[in-house]
Order: sequence, then structure tokens, then C-alpha cells
Amino acid sequence: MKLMKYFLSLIFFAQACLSLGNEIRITNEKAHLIGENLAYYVDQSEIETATSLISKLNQFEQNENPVFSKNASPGAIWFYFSVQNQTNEAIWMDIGNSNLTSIEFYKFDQQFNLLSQDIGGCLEQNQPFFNDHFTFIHPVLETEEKGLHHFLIRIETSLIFEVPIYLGSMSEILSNRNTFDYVSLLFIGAIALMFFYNLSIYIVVKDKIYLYYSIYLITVFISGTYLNNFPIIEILLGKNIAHNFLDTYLWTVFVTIGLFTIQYFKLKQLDPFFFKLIWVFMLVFIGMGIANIFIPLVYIANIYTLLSVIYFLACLILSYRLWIRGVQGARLFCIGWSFMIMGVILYVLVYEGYIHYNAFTRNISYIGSTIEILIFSIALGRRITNLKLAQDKLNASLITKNQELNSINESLDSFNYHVSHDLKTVLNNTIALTRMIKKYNALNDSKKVGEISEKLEKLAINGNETVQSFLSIGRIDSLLREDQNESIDVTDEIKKILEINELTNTIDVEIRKQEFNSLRMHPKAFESVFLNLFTNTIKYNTEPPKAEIQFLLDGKNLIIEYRDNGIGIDLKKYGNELFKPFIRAGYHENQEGSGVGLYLIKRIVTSYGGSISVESELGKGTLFRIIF
Amino acid sequence: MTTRKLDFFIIDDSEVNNYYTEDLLNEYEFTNSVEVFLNAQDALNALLTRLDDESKLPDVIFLDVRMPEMDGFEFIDELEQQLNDREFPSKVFVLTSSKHRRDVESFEKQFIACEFMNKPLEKADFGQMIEKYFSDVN
Repeated sequence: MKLMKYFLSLIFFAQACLSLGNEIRITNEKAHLIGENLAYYVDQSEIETATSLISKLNQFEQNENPVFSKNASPGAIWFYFSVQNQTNEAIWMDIGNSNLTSIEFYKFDQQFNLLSQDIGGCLEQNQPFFNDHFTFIHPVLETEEKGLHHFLIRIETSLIFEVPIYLGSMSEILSNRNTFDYVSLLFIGAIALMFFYNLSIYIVVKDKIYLYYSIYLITVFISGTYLNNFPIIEILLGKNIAHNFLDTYLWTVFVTIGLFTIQYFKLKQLDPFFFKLIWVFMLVFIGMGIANIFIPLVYIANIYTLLSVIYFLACLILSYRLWIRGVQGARLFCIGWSFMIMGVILYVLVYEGYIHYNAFTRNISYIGSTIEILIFSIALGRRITNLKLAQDKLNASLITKNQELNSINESLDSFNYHVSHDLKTVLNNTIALTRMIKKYNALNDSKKVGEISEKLEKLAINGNETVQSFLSIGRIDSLLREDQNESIDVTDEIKKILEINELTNTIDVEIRKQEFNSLRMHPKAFESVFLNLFTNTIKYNTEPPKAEIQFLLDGKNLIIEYRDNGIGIDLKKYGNELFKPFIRAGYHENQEGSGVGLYLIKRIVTSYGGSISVESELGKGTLFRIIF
Repeated sequence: MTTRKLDFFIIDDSEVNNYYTEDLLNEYEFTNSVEVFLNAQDALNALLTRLDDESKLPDVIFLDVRMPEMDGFEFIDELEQQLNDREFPSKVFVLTSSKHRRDVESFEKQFIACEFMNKPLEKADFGQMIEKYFSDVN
């Protein structure tokens, strides 16, 4: 940009000389921006005076833009223009930039005799006229001064900045000034509001990210007011420090936004390169802040501005990368950041003359910043919502886990209760029968002893079954491991189960309907389900045990229906309890069940994502329906 | 000398235990009758019928805790409800193979059963019990 400007200056040099001294004829009271009528002269070594320059007017260059702008550079810049008042009002001037550290004003008549002079600028203690708003508002021509007058203005600044010069009647100049002030106040005010918003969130939730963002906002607010004619920072630091050591305190903006970005994305884990880059930049900004203590601002300002643009662009590009990676919150960050950078780019276009200069375009970078801040505040607001949601989810899962634990505890308790009871029953009965054997042995009643021995043997067999069924609960978990699933041929498998367990002659099993033949399951789990069903049918039956099985397809669901001719279950009484462990629903001819079978079936079926239901009536058999 | 004779109910689903207890009770001269119920509901029905026609109730009821369909404490609850403030002269003894905390808690909450005894019934315990509740018997 800088190169191009010099290049253009060279091309237009000849024309500049010709058009030099373009008169400004003020024909109405409006505020005129006189950039294109300005001729300028760079006095790098600050040796020129107003009178010495009058003879060097041919060395002035013509400004091409509506607003004169220049990078920070040491020395002074002189402007020359001439004005003829063709209105019936006095003509006033406004140099609307708070960053001009010194402004000198010289007024000449048509013959270049010096008529008056004044000084102003933000570092001057006794500023002329209306300077409470930090701008240089000064009378140019009285109503009766109708002839051509020449003007020289000398400015100094330490920053890259524009020099807008307005001419017009006093009322127009003031209303123009107000428009600028109100527009900038609107956006700076929005930033202040967002500061309070984020600070209150920080106070409530104590998440550091809101603190970083609040500090960022207050520093943006302070620099915003400073660059927009409301130099609050001067009250705190005094004129000298506020203007000459700008970069000594401005680093907070870059560091807080860096810390914010790191915290926002948890960059240390998410993107270590981005994380390091931000730290490098933050340290550089701090370093430059320290450098500003020793080196005048004017020598640092350009590189500082350049670095901040690179920094912001790098943040934008890296956050786009995170957006593409699908990182939560990156989208809002990118959109917000884009607005901010768009504002900066538009602002450059404004003072390069590509976009009309007015109160809104003058503040375009603040508009960008304000949109960025609003979007970031939305993103941060969402963060709370997300935190809240995450917390709710966590709470909900804690409650579920707690319930699960309770039910595990209950079932362990129940397990303990039933196992100890049932095993003790076996042992106690053994004691009882042994005592009887002793008694009748003593009485020499061998018939009775034989009878008791029969009972003792039956008891031992029963006890063995009880122990087996309890052990099967312990084994079940090993059957539920997915990696051991196999595709099972259901008809073959059922045949095998009957043969291995020697049930072929005990129970009559008929497969009535078969709409599918294979099922993915651990074969032992499948065996456990059917063996328990068969055992129930055999145990709780008054007729020759018989079972009918149907394998049905219903859309995507596999349905297994198992119907037997057993004694049935009183569902009104047991209903939901039926599948709980140790519930013994059936009572038949002293067939002692352990209450484990149906519980095992249910656990296996549900762990394979299925469900089991039962239909039964006493004396009419039972139907189990398993749906996968 | 005519001594008092006792009628017993045994309510337990364990056939083996009933076989033992019945045998033990029959050793004593004061045993008049022993009725065995494998199912608590049947026993309850029998008791209620006797209450209704005011015939003699058993003197002693041995009650098992863990039974299918209706367990010992369900039996007691049901009986308490059905009694409806009527007098119930039978002594109920809960017999259990394990004095689990859960059973002890249930025992403490009810008013019908008076003792909580271990299975299988020991002669010594039984003797003490008879002395305590039936001093007119020996």
C-alpha cells in the first residue's frame, strides 16, 4: 500500500504542480471535506517554518484522496490550501483527528502576508476553541473576508492515521462533528455494554474465559475512546503517557484476545501449533510494549500495526482450520473474527479513498469490532448454555448410575439372601435327615433308615442343581461378550442342546414355523436361553412336556415364540416380578425352583438388545415371546 | 393324670424338613396331631375355616419363611388382616434356615409370631419353647 502510494505520487507529480493552489470556493454552508484540494509537504527534519515554506510552495505535492493519510513517520507534515468565501457566513475548520499530537494553523492574505496563527493538537495544553472534544475547530474566514486567503497547517502524529479537514459554517461544522461523535459513541457504548455483560458472567460462573474477554473489551473500549475523541485514558495516565506510550499499554488488547482464544478452543490440546503461535505473538506484543518505553512511538507504530494485522489474520486462518475440523464453537469465532478483520480492511479502503469518507465509514472498524464482539458474546453465552447442558447431562447420568448401583446393590443383597437361604436349606435338611438316620439306626429300624437314605440322596441331587443354577448367574457375563458372537443355525443348535443335555426323550420339541434360520449370538447364551425354557416346561408340567417354537420375521425384527403345555403362571400375581431373580412363581409337586432361570433368560435377551414378554394362564401353558 | 395335648401345624414347602419335624414331634407324648401344609395359602384357608366355625385351632404353628407364591411373612400379613381383631390363640413360631437381616427386620415388624427359630428344629430349643409357652404340658 505504501509503495503504491509513493508510485502514484510520482506519476501525478507533474499534474500536482499544475493543480497546485487549487482554490476552494465555499459557496454554501455545508461541511466540505477538502482532501483533494490539499497540497502537502513532508518536513522530516522539522526545519521549516510557515514563512520559509511560502517560497517553497512549488515543492508541495498534491493529495489525491478525499482524506490525507500517512504511515507513522518522524517529522512534521505541512498542508497548503486557499479559500474564497462566497457565502454570507463565517467559515470554520475542523481537523477531526484526536491523534494529531500537534496542529499549527497559519492564515495569509492573497499576497501571502501572515494574518494570524494558532496552535492545537492533543499534546497542547492551551488548545483553541471547542477543543474539549479533542479536535481542532477553528475560525477560517470572517463573513466580510471575501477575497482569496492562503492557509498553511502543520501537523505531527506518531501513528498511522488519516487527517480529515472539514470547512464550512460553524453550525454545519459542529453538526458534522456531532454526527461523528454520536456514531462512534454508539459502537463504543455497545462495547462497554458487552464488557459489563461478560464481566457479570465471570463474576457468576468464575470461568476465566469471561475475565479474559472482559479485559479485552475494556481495553478495546479504552483505545476506542482514545482514537475517537473521548480520551478517557488521558484522565488515567495523563496526556503525555497516553499519547507517547500507547503501545506500552495497548498490548493488553492482543494478550487478552490471545488468552481468550487459547481458552475458548482449549488450544493447548486441540492445536499445539496455533497455541504456540499465539504465545509467540503475545510475547512479541509485550516486548514491543516494553520497547515503547525506550523508543518513541513513531518508530514502533508501523511495525506494531503490521504485526497486529498479521496476528489477527493468523487467528482467522487458524480458526477457519478448526471450523473445517468441526470444532465446536469455531464457526461463531470465525464469523465474528471475519467481521472484525473486514472492518479493518474496509477502514483501509476508506482512507485510501476507495470508499466515501463519512461518520459511518470513519467508524467502520468499530462497527466490525462491535459485530465481532456481539457474535463472540453470543458464542460465550452459548458456552454457558453448553456448560449447563453438559452439567445437566452429567447430573442425569449420575442419577441413572446411582439408580443402577442401587439396583445392583439390591440384586446383590437379594442374591446373597437367596443363595444363603437356599444353600443353608440344603445343608439343614441334610442335618435333619442325618439326625433321623442316627435315631432310627439306634432303634434298629432299617426300613425307616432306608427310606430316609432315599430322601437324603434326592436332597443331594437337588442341592447340586441349586448350586449349578447359582453358578450359572456368575457365568452369564462371560456369555455376553460381543466378540464371541457367532452366526447360529437355530434349528441345528436346538437339536444339539436337546442331545447334549439328554432331553430328547424327555421333552417333545416341535419347530412350527421358520422364517429365519440364523442369529448372531454366543452359542452358550443361546443354549442358556433354551435350556432354561425347556427345564421350566419339564419341571412345571402335569402332562408329557411339549414345546412349540416359531421363528418369525417382522420387518427388521426377529421374533422367537416358545409355547409349552406346562401348568402356566399366575400373571396377575407375578406380572412384573416374574423376571426378577429368585422369584419362584411355580409350585408343583415339590419341584423346588431357584428363581434363576427366567432372570437369566431376560438378562441374556436384553443384553443382546432384545425384549421378552410372556402370556400365560394357569392350566393352559405358557407363551414366551422374544423379540430381537 | 390327664395332661394337656397339643395340636401342631407345619407350614413349609420343604418336604424333607416337614418329614423331619413331624417325626420329631411324634416322639413326644403331648403331641396330639400334626398337620403339614406345603403351601401357606392352604394353611391360611384351613385356619380361617376353623376361625369361622369356631372349631379348635392348632396350639402351635411352625412357619417357614421362604416359600413360593406366599412366603411366611406374607402369610402373617394376610392372617393379621383376616383376623380383624378376632382373638388368635395359636402360638406361631417362625422357622428359618438363615437368620438373614431382612427376615429379622420382617419378624420385628409383626405381632403374631412369638419366636424366631433355627431349622432344623433342635430338641433342646423345642423343649425350652414348650416350657416357656406351655407350662401345663410336660
